[in-house]
Amino acid sequence: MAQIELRNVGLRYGEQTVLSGLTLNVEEGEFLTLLGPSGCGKSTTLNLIAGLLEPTSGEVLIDGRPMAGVAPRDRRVAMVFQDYALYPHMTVYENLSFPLRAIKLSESAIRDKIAGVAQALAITALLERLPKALSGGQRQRVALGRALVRDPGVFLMDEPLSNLDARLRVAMRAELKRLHQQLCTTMVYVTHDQAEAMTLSDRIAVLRDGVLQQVGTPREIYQRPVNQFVAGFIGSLGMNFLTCHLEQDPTGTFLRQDTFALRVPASVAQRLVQQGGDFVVGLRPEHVVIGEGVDVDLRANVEVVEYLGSETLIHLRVGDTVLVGKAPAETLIVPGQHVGACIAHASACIFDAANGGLLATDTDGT
Amino acid sequence: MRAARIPFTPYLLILPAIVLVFVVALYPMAYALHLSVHTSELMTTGAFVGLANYRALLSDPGTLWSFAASVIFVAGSVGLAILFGLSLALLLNEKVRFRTAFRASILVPWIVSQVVAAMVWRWLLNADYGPVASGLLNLGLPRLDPLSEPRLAMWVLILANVWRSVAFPMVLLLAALQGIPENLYRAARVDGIPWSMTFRHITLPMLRPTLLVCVVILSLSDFNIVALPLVLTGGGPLDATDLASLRLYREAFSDYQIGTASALAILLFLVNAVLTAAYLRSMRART
Amino acid sequence: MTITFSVRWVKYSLTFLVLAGVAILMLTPVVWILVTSLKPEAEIYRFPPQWIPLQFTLDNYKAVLQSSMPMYFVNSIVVAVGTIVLTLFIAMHAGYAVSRFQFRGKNVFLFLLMASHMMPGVASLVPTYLLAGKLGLLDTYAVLILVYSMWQTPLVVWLIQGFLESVPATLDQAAMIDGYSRLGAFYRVVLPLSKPGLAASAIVVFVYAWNEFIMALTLTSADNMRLAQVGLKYYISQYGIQWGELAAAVILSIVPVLILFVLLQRWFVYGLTSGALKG
Repeated sequence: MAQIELRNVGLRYGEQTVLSGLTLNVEEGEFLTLLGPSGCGKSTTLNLIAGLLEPTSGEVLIDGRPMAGVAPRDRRVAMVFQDYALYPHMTVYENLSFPLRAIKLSESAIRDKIAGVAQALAITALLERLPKALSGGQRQRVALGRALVRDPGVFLMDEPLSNLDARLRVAMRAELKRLHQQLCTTMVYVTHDQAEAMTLSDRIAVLRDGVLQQVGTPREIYQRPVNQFVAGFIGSLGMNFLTCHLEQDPTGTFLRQDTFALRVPASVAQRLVQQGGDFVVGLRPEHVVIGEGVDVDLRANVEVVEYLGSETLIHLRVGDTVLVGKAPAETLIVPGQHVGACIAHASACIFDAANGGLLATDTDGT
Repeated sequence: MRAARIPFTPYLLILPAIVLVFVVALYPMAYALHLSVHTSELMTTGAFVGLANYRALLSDPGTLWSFAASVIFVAGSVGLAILFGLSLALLLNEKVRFRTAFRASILVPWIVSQVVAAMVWRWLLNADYGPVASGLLNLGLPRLDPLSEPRLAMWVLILANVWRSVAFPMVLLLAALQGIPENLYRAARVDGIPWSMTFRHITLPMLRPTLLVCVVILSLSDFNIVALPLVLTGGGPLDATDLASLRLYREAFSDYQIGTASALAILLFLVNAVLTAAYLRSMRART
Repeated sequence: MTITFSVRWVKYSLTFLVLAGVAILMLTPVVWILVTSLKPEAEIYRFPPQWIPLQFTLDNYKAVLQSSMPMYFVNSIVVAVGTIVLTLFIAMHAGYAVSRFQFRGKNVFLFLLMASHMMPGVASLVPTYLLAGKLGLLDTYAVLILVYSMWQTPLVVWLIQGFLESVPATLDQAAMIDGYSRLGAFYRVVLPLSKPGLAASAIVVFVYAWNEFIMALTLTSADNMRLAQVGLKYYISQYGIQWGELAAAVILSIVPVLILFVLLQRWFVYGLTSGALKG
């Protein structure tokens, strides 16, 4: 088990900045996910921890030891690659024994070690096969096995599930989680799939264009995204954004666009008035409940209806934006209908329209 | 802030290649330049004479002819090799029985050395005992010794060279043909475009980059050819096949005129440099 | 329907006939040499010549094997193997650097490599000869191996690089994490996976070294250092033109390359053409 510290780490290739000023701690035994779109620097960060890349500024520490100039093999890390990186000319057994041979373990020790790992991962029957004779899921297990035999201090995983089909991915996800609970080894996991990040992680670090946006537990990041980018990236449907202007009348302060209006609590209103300008209201689809009820906040026309089985997504036209909300699966709403929606005020986020930063969640101060 | 680590590994890895290329390739060229502006006496370098060697060379009609002969040889060889190579590639691109066997037979002359090619053709064309002479007699034509006819010798040389080198453009063009997306032809067929137009407006433009590469590479190798003419014609008869490359060899190793030979080497080097530049440019056009 | 069918049939037959004709024509000169090599002397100098010998004999081959030709063949093999080893060693390391690293000067290096390969032959003949003479390297295997390696290294770098690049870089990275150094990863993981590339390169180098003539002619003069191609050339002057023996020697000189060609045609063609298309 190991603890990792990145201090103001940056990487540049000539004029191009891949990563800048990244400061991040990974606690012992923690499952931390680096999340972001492709090109955000998440795999680069992983390679910097592994020692496959050296930072051009800042430093990487593992267990408090600076890693500059320390070769990957001396960092006690294990890595699972997106393409698994199984050595095609070696059998599964040879693949698993390769790291053990590097440390000159005796043949019998190697055999015992591999037998144990193979059993844990249910790949004993595959040991004599070549990688090309394995299915995607089997390769994945072998790749995990090769990481496991080394008893590393840290597991580094670079999108290990992205080459699997959807169903297998969900199964492996659960298995990874179980593995982590068993081993309690520090894991740094890279993915662009927010669902993987949410389900697996103790904490998530969201990156964009080489800059860290936010670190927090999945719950923190889901409920209090620091900016519009994080808000839009997290959640399977992303967040609805409505650009609104501030309106004050005797009944209170509102953020309004077209027929949409959000009442702002007094404490928040004061700050918004001071700041001035436009604001963006962020609402997750589950916080826009479609249906005729007692407290309808909004009435709008239905543009598209998407039946998902467990529920139904309704696209509402509000001014020049589309607001996605949810209705029960059995709803009879059809496109063109004029419907009401109930908005969970307490869950709305308010962002600065100028820079996308979070100004308040609606519950602030109330 | 600590300076970024110097990645010395790649330099270590390319070091042997650099040493080899510089020591064995570039240094001799620099030495040739040095020799070309000095007199030479019995293989020792004499006094500096400036461009005298070059002047002597360029005022010698023999040298000028040898460059002309090279141009004729290269143009004839490359033109025919491309023409035959393209035709054969087009034919081999059809699904014909024994296609691989045909292809293999056409490749055989390509793996044969220039010396062997020269000997094979000498014996084939032998006026006294060769099958070509006997064939001509059977047709009622006079017995012919093409290698002793100044006007025919060049054609024999070109023919032997095309025989030897036609497989190269053929293989490259065949690969290029097979790389043309089948859908282009399907689309043309659906649009009712005749074969000749398909060839001119789809096949040829798609082959153009490969054709260019073939032309340049063949030109380079033909321009520098020594072994084939040396063994097949020896430059004769009457200097008819005295290519510049061959002349350079004889200037240095029969006449021991190191100064003028070096000057000639530099001239050939310049032609090579131009062709290489053309090659690199055509490569860039490909990508 | 019948008309389109017959048009296709005519086209097919024409294609077949032309290809068959060309294939035969291309083989004819070699076949003629083979026929000659199997004829007794009297029949060789007979006119009109016979395509099928009236009498087969192996006398010509026996004579060749008793001459110096076998020694020349051994020389050629020594030089070819030496060239293969040196070229592959140098080129695989350079190719690995090029395929796995970004470094300052990489493009300059590649350009120089390409340029030096593209400027072949005769222009460097004279200075190479004189330098070799000064260094006392004339009539040695070493000078031929060095010069041949130099000519082949650029090509082989391009060739091997293509194979190295087809090996995913994550494999080296995995090996480095699994406890190996950069070079360890290269030797244990990347090289074994590039065996076809090494084989193709070895073939290219062998054929080149085996067939090269002009450098061998210039850089050696001692009889015991002669290579096969030079030996063939001197066969004419040394023994008068003994066409029967010469033909047998020619056939024997083609055999090694021909065997390689038949066994490994795919790599052969790949190796000899791919250098031209990389860039």
